[in-house]
Amino acid sequence: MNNTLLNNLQLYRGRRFSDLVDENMISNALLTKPHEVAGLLSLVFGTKDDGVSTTIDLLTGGLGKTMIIENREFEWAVQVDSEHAINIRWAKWNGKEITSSNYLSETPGLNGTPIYIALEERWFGPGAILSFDDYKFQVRVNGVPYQDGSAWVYEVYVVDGAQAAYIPGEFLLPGRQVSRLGSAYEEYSDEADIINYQTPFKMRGHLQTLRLTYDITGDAYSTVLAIALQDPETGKKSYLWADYQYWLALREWKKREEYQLLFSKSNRLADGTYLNKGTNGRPAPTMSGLFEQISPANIRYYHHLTAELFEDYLFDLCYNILGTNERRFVALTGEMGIREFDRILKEKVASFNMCENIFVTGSGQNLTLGGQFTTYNMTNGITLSLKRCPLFDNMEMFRQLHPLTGKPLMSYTFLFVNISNFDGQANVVKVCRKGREFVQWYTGGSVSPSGYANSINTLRSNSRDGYQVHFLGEEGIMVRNPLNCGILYCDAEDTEICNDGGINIGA
Amino acid sequence: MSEGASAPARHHNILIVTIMVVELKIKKKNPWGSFIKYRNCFDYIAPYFTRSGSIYTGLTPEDEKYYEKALGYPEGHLAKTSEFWNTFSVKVGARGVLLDDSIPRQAMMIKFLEGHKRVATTLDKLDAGKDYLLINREAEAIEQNKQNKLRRDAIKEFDTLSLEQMRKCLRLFGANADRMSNELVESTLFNIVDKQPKKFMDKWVNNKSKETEFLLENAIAKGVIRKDKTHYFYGSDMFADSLDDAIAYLDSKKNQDLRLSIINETENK
Repeated sequence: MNNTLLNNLQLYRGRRFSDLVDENMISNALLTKPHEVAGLLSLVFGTKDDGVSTTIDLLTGGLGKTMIIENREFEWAVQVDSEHAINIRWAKWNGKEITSSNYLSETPGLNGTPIYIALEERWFGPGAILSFDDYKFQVRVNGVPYQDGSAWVYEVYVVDGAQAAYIPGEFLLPGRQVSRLGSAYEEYSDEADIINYQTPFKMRGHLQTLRLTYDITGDAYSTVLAIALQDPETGKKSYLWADYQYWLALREWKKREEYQLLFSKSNRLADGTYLNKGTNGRPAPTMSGLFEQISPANIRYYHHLTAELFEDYLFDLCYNILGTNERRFVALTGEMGIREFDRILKEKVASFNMCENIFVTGSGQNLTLGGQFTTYNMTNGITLSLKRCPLFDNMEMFRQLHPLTGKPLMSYTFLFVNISNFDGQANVVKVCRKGREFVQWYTGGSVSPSGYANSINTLRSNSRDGYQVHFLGEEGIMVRNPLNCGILYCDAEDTEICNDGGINIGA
Repeated sequence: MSEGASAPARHHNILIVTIMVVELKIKKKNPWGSFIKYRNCFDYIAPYFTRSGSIYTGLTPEDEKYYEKALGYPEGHLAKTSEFWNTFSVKVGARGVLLDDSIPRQAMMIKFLEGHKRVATTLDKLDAGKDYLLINREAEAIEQNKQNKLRRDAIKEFDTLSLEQMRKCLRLFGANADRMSNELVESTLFNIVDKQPKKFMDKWVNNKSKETEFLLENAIAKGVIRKDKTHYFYGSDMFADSLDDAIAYLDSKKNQDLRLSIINETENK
């Protein structure tokens, strides 16, 4: 993958992995370097473990893009373009309001007569030149506006070289817009246009507490497995069931964490309370996952991917990139998404007559056919790289299938995230409560992770022959600027819409 | 939607054209941020695979021919198998989109949206699976008026209830009004009627079995009848496995002795 960031990632592979399989190594390391080890786990499960391969956790926690906070809630500001068009509430000319029934017959502004337009915001100063939805029609603001209800009424005059010029009535109907072109003043003037400040809008997220528990019986603690758990780097092996169970639990933890970071829906209500309550009556908040945070951005559905559609969509995302020339996107997708991407680019290069040199290598009886596109450098400096998100291919989780291929529809989804840094800060970060990114403990009975209780003076919390391990994490995810992110869904009718449940019996 | 949105209909050689402007709006507000769309961001509603594996375009073969001619496309350009649909989409942002069916391309968009699985064409069809609403303001007002009338009717019916009936009605909504003051009974029920007029009409006004349903709910509350999930037990005998069955059982003539026993036991508790 031609992406510096991901190449850097590959440098880490395996190097730190060797520490994780020896006896009690993670638990020991966590005591001294809790944050570092939590990040290391993200890296390991994101790069090494094919069974999980946690992409989002890897891109955030695994690369050190974790923000540690001390509260459950966090806020951030999203800067939007300060230039914007203002809605017209109403417009009057010659004492008559311009409406859909008379706009064709009126000639507003003819012969230098004033037009009064009521705007939703006080956005322009005296002397400002405004343009309508067609920039060729322009007016100049005269004086300061006055307030009428919640609208601001501006007196404007047509800017044109002809006395007979007027503004077509259709541009003055309610809901049409005006924007600033500039300003113009007379000699020795005393007025000036104003500057507008677009305050960034605030976003608020909150953390979610995740938990997981597993039991080890006293007998299982020392059970030796037939198959060893092996460190792929050093070849060291552990045959203990307890180690294996611990590894499995960690793996499951990372998988669930990844699901939450991607798909969690916030249950915070408008009044600040939470819809779901736990058994002790306290609220059980859920975080807003990546999909939910991106859903108010650009969402597009497709059924047949084409290069034209892809380019068109990426251009739309580019309209929301402010203050930077970086136009590097990463799209997370499944196996089928990668295949579709490769297909459209191969279709595109087919017209260049270059396939033979690129995709066929070797000579004589030793020819190789193949090659896959994973990066696309488009026009206007837009670069798109793909990163596989294995969870999208999970058929147990995503059961809606593509009607033609029978593969999970989710596998065709492209989640566009801008993983660039803005002002030195990562755009997508994992957020964790200080000291609670990954907490683990046990309640011991006859045995603890360090061994059996062999003295009468050993104090344990219960009488069980075994011990119970608990994992807890308090975390969330933040997309600093979700405006240039988006989702491209392959869309199909629900194939099981007529399923009354009968077909699953005995399945 | 009226027929104006599709290819104009011909009756006895008279062309009937109804010009209509409809509005397409995003209805789902993002619960996390409480807004519909970020600025300069849009949804693109596009064709999708149907269950048969073909493509949903919303056009019948007649529509395809009509719009091909109206839009100056060659024959087959709007067929389901045409590449035209690969990139076709209707773009909608937070402000909504106005579509005028006197303009052929927009009329085709209306046709496409009318049957789309994510688009509701009236307020009463707006369910959790619909993300967009395609509606003309006239129709929206008609629908709103229907809901307002239902609310007015429910309030009229509420006015005719005695306090005893109000208590019974509250029981059907799962509230125990036995120890409530008269004032509290009235205000609690009015809140329900005001917010859920349809449910009130269904559960009380138009419910022919309300007396039996009340008897059941009351008997369950007093422990005369036991309800386990959807099963109803009298003593250790299960006599119904759904509410409808339980009502039918107690209304049946041959079970009137059981009904009387339940009434007596409930009153005595």
